[in-house]
Amino acid sequence: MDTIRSPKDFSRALSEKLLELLWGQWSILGIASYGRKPALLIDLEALILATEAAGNADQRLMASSRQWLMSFREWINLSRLKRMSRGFILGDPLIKTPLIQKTKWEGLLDDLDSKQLEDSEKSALINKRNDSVVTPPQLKKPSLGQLYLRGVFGVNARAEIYLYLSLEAKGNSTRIAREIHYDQRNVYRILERWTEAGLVVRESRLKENLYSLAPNQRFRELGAGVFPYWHWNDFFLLFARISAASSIPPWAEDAYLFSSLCRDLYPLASIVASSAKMSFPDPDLHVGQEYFEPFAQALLAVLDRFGE
Amino acid sequence: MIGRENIDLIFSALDRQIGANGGRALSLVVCGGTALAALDLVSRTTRDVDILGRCLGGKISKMRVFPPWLARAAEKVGRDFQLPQGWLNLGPESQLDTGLPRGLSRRLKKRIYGKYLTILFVDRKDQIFFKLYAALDRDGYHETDLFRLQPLESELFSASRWVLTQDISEEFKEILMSFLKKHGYDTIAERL
Repeated sequence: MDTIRSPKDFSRALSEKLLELLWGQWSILGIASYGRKPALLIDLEALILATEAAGNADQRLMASSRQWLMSFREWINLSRLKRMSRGFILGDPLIKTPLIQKTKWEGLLDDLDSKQLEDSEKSALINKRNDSVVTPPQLKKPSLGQLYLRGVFGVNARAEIYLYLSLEAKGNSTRIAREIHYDQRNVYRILERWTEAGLVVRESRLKENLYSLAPNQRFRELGAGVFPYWHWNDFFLLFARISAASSIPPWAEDAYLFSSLCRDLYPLASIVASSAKMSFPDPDLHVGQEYFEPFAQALLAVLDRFGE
Repeated sequence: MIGRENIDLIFSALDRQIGANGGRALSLVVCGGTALAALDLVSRTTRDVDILGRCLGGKISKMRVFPPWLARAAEKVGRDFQLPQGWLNLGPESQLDTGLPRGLSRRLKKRIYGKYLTILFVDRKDQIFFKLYAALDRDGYHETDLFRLQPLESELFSASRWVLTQDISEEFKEILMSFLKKHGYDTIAERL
């Protein structure tokens, strides 16, 4: 493993790997590209946010993803996207800058809101160049479980609730709503309906109701890939913060301040890594800026693993 | 722990954290073990940095509490360098109420740690004053520090005179004289 000498060195390596992961996920959705196609489930809204945050580093990725979004807008849950965008467009509490420029973001939302394309327009958009880069998503691909469920339930909270229950086994409505980025009352109503219908089992434990899928109600095995993972919002938020900090002052020029930021992000990074049975170096074993290199190496290893 | 080998590293980190936390430039007057180590007067480690006050236009004044940006910056540095909670503290500030040795501010040793932080270390002579006062109050490392500073008789006499301005009771004078005699400074004790 090469030594990472400075945040600037790290920024280059990180950007390369992050873009590779984003390209991989977009390629599964239908954008033509080379490189690895990751096997993990994709969260479309999280991917859009991560692409907007990282896209300035790769204009071709930005253009291709925009073309896909305009062509297949019907798969996007706009209200969920807006809800999830808060962590990206508000000034980040640690690096004190938005991870996505608000005006740029609002421009995209306006486009997505207004451009309900007719089929003919969509075909024209897809085929506007001979080397068309986007094709419709193939819902049977294991990584596209979310879109598959949207195909079944419609583009609403039901797809993500079902996905959550498939991957996490059980949870109460508040936790489920928080993790899938929907309104708690809406999630609660759906869970109660599903309980009445027998799709879901409700178990009362102390003061909370825990919901899980009823036996034999899994109509497709979800959780493709080397390990079950679907918390892409946390994942991309972590990497967007690290990526932004590694390229702007004062962190980009200061390995100590960057390592201090790494310590701030250690709890979130640990949660992300533990999903893949990985771990981050213990900050207590490294004093001052000594934490920078082991943490940076661990971040790159995590990116590799999640891109498998 | 804070020692000669990492003092500059820690203050430099604090300077950068002040910047990252939206702080402003300031000068802090530091006494105690950190100043002794920084000025290479006594080689020992310490757990904290004692702030006597802030210095503005040559005048030392109380801070009472740290501004939020400095508290945040200190918290980060404490975490990053595994220092105890309260490692940067205003413990000795009350000394400003009872009075400082004359000329202390002129003797301060200045070190600039970056764009934001300047540290003014209390000079050896004033450390002798403070250490004598502390040694009378508490046993232990203050007494050791005092004699590691190898004070001249004239310095110890000046320090004794100053110490008597801090507590004017007869009992305190007795304690001082007994301390001086215990360490072989009978002549100073007799002159007081």
